[in-house]
Amino acid sequence: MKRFFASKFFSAAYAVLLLCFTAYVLLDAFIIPRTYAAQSGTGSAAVQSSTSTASSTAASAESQTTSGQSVVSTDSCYSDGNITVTLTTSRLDDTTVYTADIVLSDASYLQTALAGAAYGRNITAATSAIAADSDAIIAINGDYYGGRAAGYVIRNGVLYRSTSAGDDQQDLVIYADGTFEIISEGGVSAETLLKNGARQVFSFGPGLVSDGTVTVTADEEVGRAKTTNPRTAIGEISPLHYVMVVADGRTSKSTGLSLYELAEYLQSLGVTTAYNLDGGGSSTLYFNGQVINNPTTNGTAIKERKVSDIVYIGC
Amino acid sequence: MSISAADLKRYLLAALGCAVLSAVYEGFSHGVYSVWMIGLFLFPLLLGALPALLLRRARRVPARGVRRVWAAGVSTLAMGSLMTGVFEIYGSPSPLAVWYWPVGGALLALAAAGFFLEKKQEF
Repeated sequence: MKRFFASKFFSAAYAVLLLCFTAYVLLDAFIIPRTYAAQSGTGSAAVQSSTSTASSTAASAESQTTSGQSVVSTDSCYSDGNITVTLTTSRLDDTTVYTADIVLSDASYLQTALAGAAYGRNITAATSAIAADSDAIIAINGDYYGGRAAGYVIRNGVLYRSTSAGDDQQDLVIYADGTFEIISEGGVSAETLLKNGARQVFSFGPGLVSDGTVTVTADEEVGRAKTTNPRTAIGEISPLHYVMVVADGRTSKSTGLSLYELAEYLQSLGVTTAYNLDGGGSSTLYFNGQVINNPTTNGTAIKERKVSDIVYIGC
Repeated sequence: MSISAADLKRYLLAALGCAVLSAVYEGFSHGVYSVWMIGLFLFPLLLGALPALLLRRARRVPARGVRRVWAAGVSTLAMGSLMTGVFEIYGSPSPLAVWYWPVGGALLALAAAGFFLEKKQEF
């Protein structure tokens, strides 16, 4: 045994073993796709009923559209009688901010989609690709649930993950009637949220505005990020009236926003509830078949990053 | 150059390499910091170069097998620190990355046991 440890073979073999294991750790974390089934449980009946409700509503919306509702679509607005989107671009200090004001006739038009239409780890696609597959009118990146092993995931009424990311994890809950609420995972289970009518639950955060009041402090940041960054956020102004906000960042033309700046901007738009979604290189805004903002990937390269999920407006 | 001096030089170079690696990685991480990434160089420095220096002063040379196992342990812990830093900066933990710590610790313990049990050998 002593001879084995003393030999060069031991050092070489161990170095190879360590490198192979590390390569596997990286492949497992970033490359190897794994699909998981939706969780069964108390929510399954509600899931089926809410899904079928959404389908019937979508079907009726389609018939309404085809039976005489005129569609107006330009580079900055879309209107079909059920969905009205107005897109504006503005400068906030040295940052370009894209704001989509959205008014719906029914909450079922506010939907989410998963990359590859599957729930799992390392299953990703560009926001624009997922949006195009979903026939989205407007879309933003979601919470990149696949980048984390914990945090509630409910999408379109289906419970995918009920593992809590901790008592302090703030989630955005979108109920079947389209109302927003920011909750802490420590206070309620995913199953209870589903039973209470949650249709979408995002676990990124933090919540930016609640009851019209900014809920982040000037020095609060996501994880260990301490600088301004590209941002994606969604907010509710009033029932069925929403905003999607994306800010460019990490470039010489647009530095990005802090969470506090983003929250203040959303408050100025009149939101009652607003939530921070995945930002950084993930921040993408898609409208009428085009990526509107300048998403940064791998530093400052203007290129879309592949993400796990999107939030979109569509029939 | 004695074996002890060669070990010292090797660990110091490794510490320098780790410092450069973590500086470059942090430079591209858009202000997201990880103490595991920043402190990466401390593993070869404190667990490699420092013991090598102390042994040199004490004029003791551990058996070759002990030195190799100790180096494997230091390498494993340094790699664990690097991976933990990468995942912290990325924002997602990996359940597999935790294995570096017990494996690295066990190798160091094995080497330490071998060192204290072996017959004293001076250079």
